[in-house]
Amino acid sequence: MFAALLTSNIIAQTKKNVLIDFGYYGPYAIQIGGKLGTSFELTTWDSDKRHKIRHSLNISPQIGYFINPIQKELQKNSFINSEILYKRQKSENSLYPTASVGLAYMLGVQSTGGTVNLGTGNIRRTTRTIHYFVPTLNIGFARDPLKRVGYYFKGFYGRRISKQVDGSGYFGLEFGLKIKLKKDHD
Amino acid sequence: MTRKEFIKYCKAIGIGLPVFLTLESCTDDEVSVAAPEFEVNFSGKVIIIGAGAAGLTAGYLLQRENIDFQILEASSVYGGRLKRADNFADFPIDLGAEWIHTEPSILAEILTNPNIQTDIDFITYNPQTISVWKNGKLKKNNWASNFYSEYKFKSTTWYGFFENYIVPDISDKIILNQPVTEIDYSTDMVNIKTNDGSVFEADKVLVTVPVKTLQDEYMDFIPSLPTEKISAINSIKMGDGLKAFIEFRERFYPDILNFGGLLTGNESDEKIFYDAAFRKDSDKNVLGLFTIGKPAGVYAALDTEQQIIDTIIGELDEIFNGKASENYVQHVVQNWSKEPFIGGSYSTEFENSRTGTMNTISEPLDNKIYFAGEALSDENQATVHGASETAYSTVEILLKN
Repeated sequence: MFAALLTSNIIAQTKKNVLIDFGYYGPYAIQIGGKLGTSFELTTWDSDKRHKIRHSLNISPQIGYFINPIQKELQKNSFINSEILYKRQKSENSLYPTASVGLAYMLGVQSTGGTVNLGTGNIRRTTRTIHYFVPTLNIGFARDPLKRVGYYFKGFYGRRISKQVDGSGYFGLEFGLKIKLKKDHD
Repeated sequence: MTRKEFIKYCKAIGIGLPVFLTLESCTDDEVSVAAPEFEVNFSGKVIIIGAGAAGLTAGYLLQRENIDFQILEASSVYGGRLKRADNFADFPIDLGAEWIHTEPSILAEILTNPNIQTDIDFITYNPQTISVWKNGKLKKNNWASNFYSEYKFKSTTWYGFFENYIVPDISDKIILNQPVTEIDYSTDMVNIKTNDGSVFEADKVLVTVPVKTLQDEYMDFIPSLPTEKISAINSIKMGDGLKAFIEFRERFYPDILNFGGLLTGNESDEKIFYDAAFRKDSDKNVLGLFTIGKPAGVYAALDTEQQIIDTIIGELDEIFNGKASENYVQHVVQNWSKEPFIGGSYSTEFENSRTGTMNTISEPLDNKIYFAGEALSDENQATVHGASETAYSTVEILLKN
C-alpha cells in the first residue's frame, strides 16, 4: 500500500517538476568524484502559520562515482544511494538546512597488484571487487531553484560495511547544483 | 600515495576536479623505456667504491659502455642496504630496502634494457586494516587505507632484483671485503688503498658509500675534500635504522600499526609494525618492524639481538594483551645502525637547502672523484630507485668529461 502511494506520488511529481542534483562528491575530502540524483516529496506539513515554515520529507535516489586522484589505479568506486531527506523551508526560494539518512550500495574495484615487464615497463594490474553497504548521516544546506538553478552543500558521515574487508569510517563533502528540468504549470 | 606524500598531502588538502572513468577489471599501463645514449669521451679505468644500489647500477652502465671498471665493496656481500633473508618464511624477506616508492615501471627504467622480456609480480601495498597505538589505547583507523598505497615485490625482493638483473653482467668486477681507507687524487691517476694494504689505480673514482661513512671519515681523501663539501656532507642527517621480522603461530595484528597518530610522524622518525606477508603467497604470519631515527635508536642502542627482540615482544604484549609471547615462533633482526660500513638508515634531513647540499656534494673533484647514492637524488632521495638514478646522472657526467 505504502509503495503504491509512494509510486503514485512520485509519478505525479515527475509530471510537474523534476529537480536534478549533480555535483562534486568527495569522500575523505581528497577523493574526487561526481554524483547525480533527484528527489521526490513524500509528505509536507506547515508550522508557524505567521511565518509559514514548511517542512517536508523527501526521498532522494542517487548514483555516483569516485576515485583516488593521487593513484587512480588504487581504487574506483561506483554506488547507488537513497536518502530520506528532511527539509525545513521558510519560503520557496530561501536557503534551508537539510538533514538526511542514507543507505548506499557501493561497488569498489581495488588494485591488488600485477606484473611489470622489465624490458618495456608495461604494467598489467590485477584488481578485486568489493561490495559495501554504506549507511550515512548527512547534514547541509541548500537553495531550491527559483527559476532553473539552485545549489546544495552537505557533509556526510557513515561507515563502509563489507563481508570482504574490515569496516571503516566514511566521511566527506559534496556540493553542486540543483536544476529544475520542467517549469511549473500552475 | 607514499607515507611521505600522505603526510605532506594531508597538510595541504585541496580539492581537485571531478574525473569520470569507466570501471575495468584489469588495466594495462603502457610505458616507454629506452636505453640512454651517453656521450662517451672517456676510455680509462673507473673504480667504484661501494656495491649498493648506486654502485651496482653504475657498474651495470659502465659495462654496457665497455668501460674498464672494478667495484670495491667493504663488506663480505654486495647489496649495501639491500639485503635478503631467504629461509625465514615461505617468501623472501627484505631486511633492507623493501618498498617500491613509485610506479613499478621504475624497475624497467633502472634496467633500460628492452631485450629483457621478463614479467615480474608486484603487489599493491595498500593496508586495509590500520591501527594506531596512542596513550595506551589501540584505535582502528581503517579509513586511512584510502590515502596510503605503495608497491612491493610479490615473490622476490629488491636484493633479488639486483641479483638477477644487474649483478650477473658485472659479478666478476665486484671485489668484496675491500674497505677503502685512502683515496689519493693528487696525481694524474687516482690511487686507492684498502685496509688489507691492497692498492688500486684508476683514472676516475665513483664514491657511492652511505653518507654516514663519509661523515665518519673512514676514508682519507688526499688532498682533503673541500671544506664546503665536508660541511654539506655533515649537514645531512642519517639516523638509526632497524628492521625486525617475527613469525607468530596466529595472527593478532592489523595490516599496519602506527604509533602516536597517523599525522604526527615525520620523515626522520618512523616506527611501524606491519604484516610482512600482506598479499604475498604465504601461509605464515610474519610481522615486520620498520623503524628509523629516534624510535630506532631505542632498539639500536641495545647490546644484543635478544635484548632487542625481548623489547619488541614486550611492546607487542602490551598492545595485544600478551598474544605476542603466546604465539612467538622465531625472529630475525637487522640492526642497520650497527652494520659495518652502513651505520644507520638513510638520509632524511638536510640542515640547509637540500638541492644546494646535493649539488655541493655531487660536484666532481678535478674530474676524477665523483659521488652518487640515495642521499644525492634530488627527487627520489632515500629510495633505491633514487640511488640508481644518481648512478645514471653521474655516469653520464663521468663519461662525458
